[in-house]
Amino acid sequence: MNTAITKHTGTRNSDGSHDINSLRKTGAPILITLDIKEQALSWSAVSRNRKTDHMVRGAANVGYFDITTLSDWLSGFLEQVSDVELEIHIIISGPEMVQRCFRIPKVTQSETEAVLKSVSRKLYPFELRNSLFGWRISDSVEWAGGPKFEVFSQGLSGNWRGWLQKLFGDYLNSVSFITSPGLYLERIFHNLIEDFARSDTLLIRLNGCVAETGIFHKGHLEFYREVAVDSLAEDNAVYDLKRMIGDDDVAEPNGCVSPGEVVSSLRSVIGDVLDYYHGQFGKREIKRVVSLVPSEYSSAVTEFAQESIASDVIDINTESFIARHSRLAGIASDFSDYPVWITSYPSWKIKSYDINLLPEEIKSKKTLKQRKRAAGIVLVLAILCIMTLSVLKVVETRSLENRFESRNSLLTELKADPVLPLLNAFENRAQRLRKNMRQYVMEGQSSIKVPLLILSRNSKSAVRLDVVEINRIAGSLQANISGIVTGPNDRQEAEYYTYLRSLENDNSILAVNPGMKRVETQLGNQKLGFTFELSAR
Amino acid sequence: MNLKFLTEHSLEAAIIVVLVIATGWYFVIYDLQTAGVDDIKARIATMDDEIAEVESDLQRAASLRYEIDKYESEWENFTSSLVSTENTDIVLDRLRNQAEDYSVHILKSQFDFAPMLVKIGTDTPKPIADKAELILEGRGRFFAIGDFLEMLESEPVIADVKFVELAYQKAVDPEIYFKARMDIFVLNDLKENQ
Repeated sequence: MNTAITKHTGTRNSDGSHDINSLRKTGAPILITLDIKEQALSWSAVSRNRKTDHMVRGAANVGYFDITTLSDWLSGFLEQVSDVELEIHIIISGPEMVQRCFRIPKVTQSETEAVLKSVSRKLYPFELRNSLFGWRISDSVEWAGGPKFEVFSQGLSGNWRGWLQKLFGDYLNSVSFITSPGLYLERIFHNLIEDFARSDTLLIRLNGCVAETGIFHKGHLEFYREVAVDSLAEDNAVYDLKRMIGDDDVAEPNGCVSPGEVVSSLRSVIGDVLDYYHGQFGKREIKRVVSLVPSEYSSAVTEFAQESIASDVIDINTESFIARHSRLAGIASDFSDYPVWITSYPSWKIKSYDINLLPEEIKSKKTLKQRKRAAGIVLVLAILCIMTLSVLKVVETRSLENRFESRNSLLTELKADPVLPLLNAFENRAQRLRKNMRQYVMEGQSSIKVPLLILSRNSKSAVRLDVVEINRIAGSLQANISGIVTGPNDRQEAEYYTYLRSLENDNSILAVNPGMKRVETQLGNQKLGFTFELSAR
Repeated sequence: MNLKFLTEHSLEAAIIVVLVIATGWYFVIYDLQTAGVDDIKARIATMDDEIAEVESDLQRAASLRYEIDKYESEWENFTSSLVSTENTDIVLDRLRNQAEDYSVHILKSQFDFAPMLVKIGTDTPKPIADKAELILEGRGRFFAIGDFLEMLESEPVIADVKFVELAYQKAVDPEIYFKARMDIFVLNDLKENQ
């Protein structure tokens, strides 16, 4: 059955190969997403490097209806990438995957699960104890009998516990996520549609001869239903599938279903769905329709949806949405048959509100593995830290020892200087010389010429100095000066005081003390005689 | 059972092992290493202080040598300029010649010496030189006298110019009469070696 994947459409790698083998050379972990239906499956595989996801995808006409064949196919498929770390997400649709939405009274957290399981037992067609069962509370609403939780649950029949082991064998631990197509689409729509949670949204999807409908309230899947539509002939479904997997030689079925017939079938299916939904959840207004139908039907379905359901219709088949989705996912945009295989579109992150039907034993094994890995990392990091700190300390010690050695040798060298022992002798000699110099050599005192220079630079023509006596007293210079002032009689006094003022303003003068004045007059000519003392620095 | 428990709680076990190893390592190895490092740092600090001290001593020695050289040269100049009391004429002649260089005329000079008996009678150590008082009288232009006085102050044997009197005597005479009193060093007749 490996030949079933000989061709597939999808994004090609740089070397143009189509095979999952081509992802091995990246060496990076590979995420394989399997959309397993009853009679068919589609898959995508993506390996992530730093810049771009490399992705291949394909399909096969094997499903869990024939579990042995599916097991053979999967073992051959996974064998090709057995040497690479794998993460496997599984989306299961068809009769084995049952989804139910219902309300339970608002009870305490500890009681919720018991109440929920009690209600679920009545709603599920198989025994819940053996099944893989998951649920989430979508909303809390006020109801006639009191507040209630809106619950969305899904269960996979107990067969799958054994089937998972049979299908995946050694790769079972690589399986990390099992869910339904509706919830998987919810993940994708959150990425693909802006403000997805703002408006209640109806999903219309044609997948082979199955019409899938879902209603998303506040961004969460609240209701999901798959309906086999008889009018979509089986031939057409087979044709679609073969075309999807790239078998170009397949003969086009004679009786192609016209868009009108498709719309007619959908009208009936959607009418039932909305009636049921409104009956269960109240009259909620559907403001948006997301259409995932093959391109030949998309315009007719869009027109029908706009007329009958909501004006805001998003046709995922259009190029703009595909391009945007590709850009967000960081992969090349080659998305033929996009609406058909979108549920196997890779999405690495499993979020807290996703319902994961992975069996508990596998979950705990994975948790154990993660804990072991974390323990290993903690140990390695701790040892690295300790080693680094130790090495740094050793390096610091070595560096300080080298510095100590160099300082020691410098000190030895300095101490060996022959001058050092003579320092005291130098001190004594210098002291004696200083004493001699202080005693015999005059230095540091003002020159006796200083007062003469001061008198010279402040001289006035009208003032004549007759006698200048300069004494050196206690380090400063004292000058006693006497003289006369000549010139007009009425100006002599002013000239004298101007002269004294100019001396006082000289920076080198400490003090000027005027002494006696004597005025002599002869034949009308006056002579003003004066004495004053002057202290200079 | 224990092995299973450890496997299931590997993360907790790893954290405990890490804590134990880290604590042991810290107290047994790291603490000792740190103490060793601190010891070396302290020794280096002490050594740096010693180096600074020795460098300071060397700088001081260099500075003292410069000072000694300078003072010795000046002292040499001073002692070589000293004359004995009998040879004061030599000093006077030199001063007179220098005065002529400044266009200053020495008209009168007078030496006053301390009495010999006073010097002999004291117990104090005898210095290399004694001070004698020299009075110079002369005439010259104002600035020439100033320059001459400045030259006198730079003379090694002249201790101090203590007094100067300038007198302007005649209006027609541009020269000024001066009288300068100064201490001058002469070789001590009873000197002791310095």
